[in-house]
Amino acid sequence: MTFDQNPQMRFAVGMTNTPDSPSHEAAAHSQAIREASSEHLIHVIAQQRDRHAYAVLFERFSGRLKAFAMGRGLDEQAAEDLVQDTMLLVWRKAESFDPQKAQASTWIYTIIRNLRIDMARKAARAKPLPDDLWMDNVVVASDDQMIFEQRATGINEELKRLPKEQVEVVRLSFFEDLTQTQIASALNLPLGTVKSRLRLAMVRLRGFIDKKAGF
Amino acid sequence: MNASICSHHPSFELLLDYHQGRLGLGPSLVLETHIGHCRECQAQIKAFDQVGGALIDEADSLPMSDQALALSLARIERPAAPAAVQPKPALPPYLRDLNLPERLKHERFKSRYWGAPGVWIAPIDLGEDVVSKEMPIKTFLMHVAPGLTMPAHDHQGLEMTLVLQGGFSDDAGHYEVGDLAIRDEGEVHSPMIANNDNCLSLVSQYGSIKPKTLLGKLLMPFAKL
Repeated sequence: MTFDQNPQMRFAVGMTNTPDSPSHEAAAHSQAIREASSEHLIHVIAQQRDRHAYAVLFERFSGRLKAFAMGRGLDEQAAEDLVQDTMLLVWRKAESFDPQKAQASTWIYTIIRNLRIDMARKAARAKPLPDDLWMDNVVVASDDQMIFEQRATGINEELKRLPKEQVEVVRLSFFEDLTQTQIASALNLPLGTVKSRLRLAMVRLRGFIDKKAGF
Repeated sequence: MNASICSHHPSFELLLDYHQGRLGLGPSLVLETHIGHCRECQAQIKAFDQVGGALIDEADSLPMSDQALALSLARIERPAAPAAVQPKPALPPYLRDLNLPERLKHERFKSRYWGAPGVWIAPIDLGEDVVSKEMPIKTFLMHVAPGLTMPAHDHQGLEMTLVLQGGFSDDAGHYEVGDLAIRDEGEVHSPMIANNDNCLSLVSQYGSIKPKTLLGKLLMPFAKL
């Protein structure tokens, strides 16, 4: 059951004024939010503090972020904590998201990546990163008429087009936090092979990104 | 340091290790300072983030706990706690005229000492920073007078040197402001400071250096590197 099938939750996110069935306009609006791009949802969160948009975004990302966190070796509780902290920061820093600079998933990945590193450093009682270091303080111009197309650079498709063995190495490096030596060991491959697969994948992805950006 | 085009960059593997939080605090500080002024490396980091984002999109979603959304909605209602005001350490007087990069201006510098004639060293306090129990990481600013040559030395582990002012040369090339020199165990070098200017560098090294000459060995207790 999604959250908006639960009357209490609909009330909690402001979809209705009373915990009863929503009006026709509210239903149409709710449909629009459910189908909106993540980039648009973040914009609406930033401009209107829209809790419904936030709930949709949470449902879209939390499970995948949890998969990332557990791939990093966190246990289930710690993973959920990290996801909660990440989404809280998404809510608080929504204004600093610039769709011209990145996709929603890129921005959210940056947040969880830095939070995870901070978490590991606090656990080791080392100094965490300064807060303002990795948060772009760019304020998006407010414009209610703005419609965000899915500003996909297409990197998702490009990633899928890579040879399988390259994707595997990329995934193990980014998602599973293995060094290249550990990947070589896990896949029973020479270190040189792992290095070249990772390099080839990144060169290709990077070339694709640069081409899209007009370099 | 301005956003000039650097010739010497961290390798792709090292940048990825940094991006994934696998490096110690000292090397991370050196890389962040370099990246802050290097468009090429900024673009590479951004590319890593895009790959990470794409992997998030492709990941198989795991079920969250039943109350996860309700908990999240409750949390966003609470006003953010005021950030704990941590007084930023003031720059020691001898560093104030040096036009340090922004990233370094609020680090905690220990008292500087003279490592050799013409060479002062200002260690940076990053808290506990180690590779392993036997190998602490030392991070410091090093300021060397023009025309000096450092005694030839090997390294116990990784050594990263970011030029902030002036320049130096060794067997691997010529390094100027913004350039990053990386050396590892087994790589002996003898950096030669350029004649025309003092050379200020940010250095982070694993363990200690291993001097190859008598002079280098005699200087060790003073250099403390």
